[in-house]
Amino acid sequence: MRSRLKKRREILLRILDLCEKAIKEEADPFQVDVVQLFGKLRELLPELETEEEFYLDLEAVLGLTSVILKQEEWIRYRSSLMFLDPLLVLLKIEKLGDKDLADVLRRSWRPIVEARGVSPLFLEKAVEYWRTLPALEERRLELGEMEERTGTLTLSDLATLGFASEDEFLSFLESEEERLKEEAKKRGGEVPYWEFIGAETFEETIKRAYLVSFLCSYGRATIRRDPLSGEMWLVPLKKPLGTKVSLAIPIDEERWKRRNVGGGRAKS
Amino acid sequence: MRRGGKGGMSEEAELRAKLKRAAHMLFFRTHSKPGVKGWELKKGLGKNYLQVIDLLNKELERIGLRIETISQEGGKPKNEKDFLYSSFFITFKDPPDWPEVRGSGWRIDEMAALTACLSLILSRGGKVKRKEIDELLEKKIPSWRARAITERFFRLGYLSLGEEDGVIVGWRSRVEIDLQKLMNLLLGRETEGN
Repeated sequence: MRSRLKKRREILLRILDLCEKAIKEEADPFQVDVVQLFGKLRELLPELETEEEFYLDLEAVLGLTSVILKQEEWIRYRSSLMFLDPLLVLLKIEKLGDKDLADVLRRSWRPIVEARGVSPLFLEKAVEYWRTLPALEERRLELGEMEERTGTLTLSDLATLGFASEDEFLSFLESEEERLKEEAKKRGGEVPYWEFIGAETFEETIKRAYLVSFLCSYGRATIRRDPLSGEMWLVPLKKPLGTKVSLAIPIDEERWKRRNVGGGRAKS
Repeated sequence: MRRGGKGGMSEEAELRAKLKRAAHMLFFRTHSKPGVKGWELKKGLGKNYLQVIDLLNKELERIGLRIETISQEGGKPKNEKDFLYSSFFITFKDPPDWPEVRGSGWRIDEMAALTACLSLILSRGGKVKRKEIDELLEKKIPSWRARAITERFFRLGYLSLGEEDGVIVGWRSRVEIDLQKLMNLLLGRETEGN
């Protein structure tokens, strides 16, 4: 008697589990044989005794009804224009040439139109850019020096930065790299330079800028500079870039205060 | 001509002034991201801002431009409240022709890559893993170039990162690209092209 009760309970729970999986899209709704399961429920109905069994039976009927709705939804989606076979799309992408793919974009594209004018802020930035732009002769020297020179970091250099050992320095460098990756991931691949190095104190900002220069030298990150606005962006790299160009970024206390990087927010 | 409004300005002159202001607000980029919010337009143009926008749209159509509105959810705004929080942009009225595209600085391989990325995302129900995008592009272009191109798409807003690092269609694609048409063109055309 008790074993029959247990068996009936198991069947009902199994039907419920199957329905739940189909509803939550963990299983194909068409894998649930609704007709067969309704037949099973009909067979069990005269044998049900306890309130719990009746409750489970009711739940199973409702579950199967939801599965039918899911099946209907599935058919409607597949037969609609919105359904796109991923394999067919991949095949098309691979088969079409660059020009044809570009033409697909061109024919469905209506680019945004915008105007950029000269504002007092723009002029201020332009003056600052012009003031900090090195003379052409200096830049020629800099560009001519394609080979990156490497140096050695001594223990006294590390001590100046507040690190007791090389291991501590390297682990801090790794944590900075991780921070850069996480920030970049949140912001679509790059982080504003001044925001990244910005800290509560000027000394901490210098320390961060120094560490960033190491990340760039090791090929773990690079700096993108907008030629018009002068803004700089840090981009984490998986592999070092082929060519290296030197970039000098002056930081003094006055500039740090003006940019208000303290607290991590740069004012452009 | 009737007189009314502020300082005795005629209705027509007032409307002209509002049209000019609306054009300036929409054309001139004031934020890092283009587009003006409905509430900003309402603040600048008054409560009948949608009528002013409609009039400006008609004026712009004559020179091949139009005003596009996208709701916060990425679709078309349905009611007045939706419009307040929607973004308004000025876009081309019709797709650009090839000489215009060439002059814009876009490269053929970048455009092809964007078509590939968007169609892959759309065919997978709106989200794909970053790795899948990289693998798809690396079949046709060197990996360093593929990476640089996708980074650019993220930066410009053609692609963006959704939950669990999934790549989704970005805000700019929703504004600029007729995604249904893109898929129809991709699936309907022959390899010879035109």
